[in-house]
Amino acid sequence: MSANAESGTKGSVLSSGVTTCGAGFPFLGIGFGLLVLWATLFHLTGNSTLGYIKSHSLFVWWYEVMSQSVRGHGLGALLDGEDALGWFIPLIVIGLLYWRFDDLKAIEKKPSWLGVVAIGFAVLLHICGFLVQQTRISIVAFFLGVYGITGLLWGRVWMKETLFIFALFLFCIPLSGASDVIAFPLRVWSTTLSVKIASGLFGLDIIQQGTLIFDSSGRYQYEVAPACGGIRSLTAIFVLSLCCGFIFFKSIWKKVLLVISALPLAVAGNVLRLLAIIFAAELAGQEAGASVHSSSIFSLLPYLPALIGFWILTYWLGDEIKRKENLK
Amino acid sequence: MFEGKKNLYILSAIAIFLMIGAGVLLGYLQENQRLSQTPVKVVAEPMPGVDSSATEKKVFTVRTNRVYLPEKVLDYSSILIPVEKAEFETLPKDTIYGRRLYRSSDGFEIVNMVVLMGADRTSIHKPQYCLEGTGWRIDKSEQVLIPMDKPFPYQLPAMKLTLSGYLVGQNGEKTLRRGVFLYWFVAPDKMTAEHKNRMWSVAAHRILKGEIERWAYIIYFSTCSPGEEDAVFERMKVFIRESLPEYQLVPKAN
Repeated sequence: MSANAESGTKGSVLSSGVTTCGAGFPFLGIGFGLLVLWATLFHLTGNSTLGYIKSHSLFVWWYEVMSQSVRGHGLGALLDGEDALGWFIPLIVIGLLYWRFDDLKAIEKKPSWLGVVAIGFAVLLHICGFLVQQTRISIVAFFLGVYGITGLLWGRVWMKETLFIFALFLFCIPLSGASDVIAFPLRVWSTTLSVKIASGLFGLDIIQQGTLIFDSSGRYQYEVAPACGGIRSLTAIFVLSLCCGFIFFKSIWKKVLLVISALPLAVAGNVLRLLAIIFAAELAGQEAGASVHSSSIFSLLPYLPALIGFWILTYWLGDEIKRKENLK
Repeated sequence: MFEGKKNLYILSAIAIFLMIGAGVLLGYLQENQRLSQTPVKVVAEPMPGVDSSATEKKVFTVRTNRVYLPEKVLDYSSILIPVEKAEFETLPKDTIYGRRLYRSSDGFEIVNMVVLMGADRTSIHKPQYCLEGTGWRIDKSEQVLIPMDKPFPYQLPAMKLTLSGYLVGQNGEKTLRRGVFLYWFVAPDKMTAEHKNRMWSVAAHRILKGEIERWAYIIYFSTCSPGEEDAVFERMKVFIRESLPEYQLVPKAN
């Protein structure tokens, strides 16, 4: 009896939780159905390239590309890959949605054409991606479609409020291999700025050759390798800017400003780390510079300007959501 | 304007129509692909493959056709190089290969390889990945123009990679070697040394003309001792001038 009562209580707690959760979010059944159909489309016709990964499924393709760095190195290598952040994006999105759950629940929701327009655009994008054999385009299309489905169900205001959180899914796109376009200029910028600051501001006698830094007496030299180019910190800082924008601001322009600031802040962070290496090498030679390079504490330096920068920006632009809560 | 369940059903029906329509269209497009002409000569002769990882090397036939590469060029004679099983299994099944090792009367060697894509662009990838994976380090990348005289005088755009690597002898001793690696991509009506130009062209051709533009990736590779790179490059240019017009169909003679 007690067991039944207990399970009954648990059941009612669970079902009431589901009801509460679903109360502000109507048409969940239809949404789920559309989502299954949308995922099926991408499972069956998501990938048109069959070299290396022999599956038409977008999800199999994504998993295979994302886990390339892990293969043969164990799960520990999961976080070492350039695209490691991609694994955590769905969790970050869920966390952020939970953070703003009450706000989002309170939004007046009604079906909207805008969602269908987004789905239509996602379909076109996917067809293009499929035809030109660029599966990464189809990943963008997939997430745009998911966004569209939620917009179809819950309308324009919902879409406006969650635009930035859905934008986070862009960081699920594996860029390793295709990231040279972004990573190489980033390496050159960081190297050039570091050398200019070190020689121009502090009078150090160092020379730059491409992404190579060495001092004129030949005591030390470093190559700013692709892994040190700042692509990982750049993506992490972009994700952080989107998260901060979503948490702290309602105005689109403030969110956009925060995202735009991510690039210079990421470069500044990388310059800071390179300068730390140069100064260590200047003071105590090549080994000291290498120690700074491999130090886990100094590897956090690239994030320092971003954290300070975002803190200043959120303070300066005004923490709208917190202020609103205080007024309540 | 749109409120209530009726509107939701209409919008959902449109979304379902779009999704199913896309699936049907993509399925049709996948089954009815149109391929462009090939930019290189293909002959109905078998391409051998080999499984080097097996304890006993097994030679098998990869395809019943291959890119034609001349058997003799100037004073060079040649042998076919088989495709590795791992490579054959990784690349799309409709990839067509051509590879020969040429040796001149004085012992100088040049490897000539061609990869011709079928319907799948992933037959061709950046050489940088493979080279670094096989122990070569790329010291320098530069675009060069190779003067050609057949079918008429023109400048062939090529990417020249200067490589460094160690040759390990039988007793484990290491010898530093340099490599000169020349490559470019060719489609039925264009040539480029840039990977990104090929990618854009494949995309634009597919969207604007509805046809898969078939590209071939052409490689000439030779190794030498440090300091001999320029001389090797000159010998390779002479070789390319003779061998390439035998199988590359672009540019076409008027």
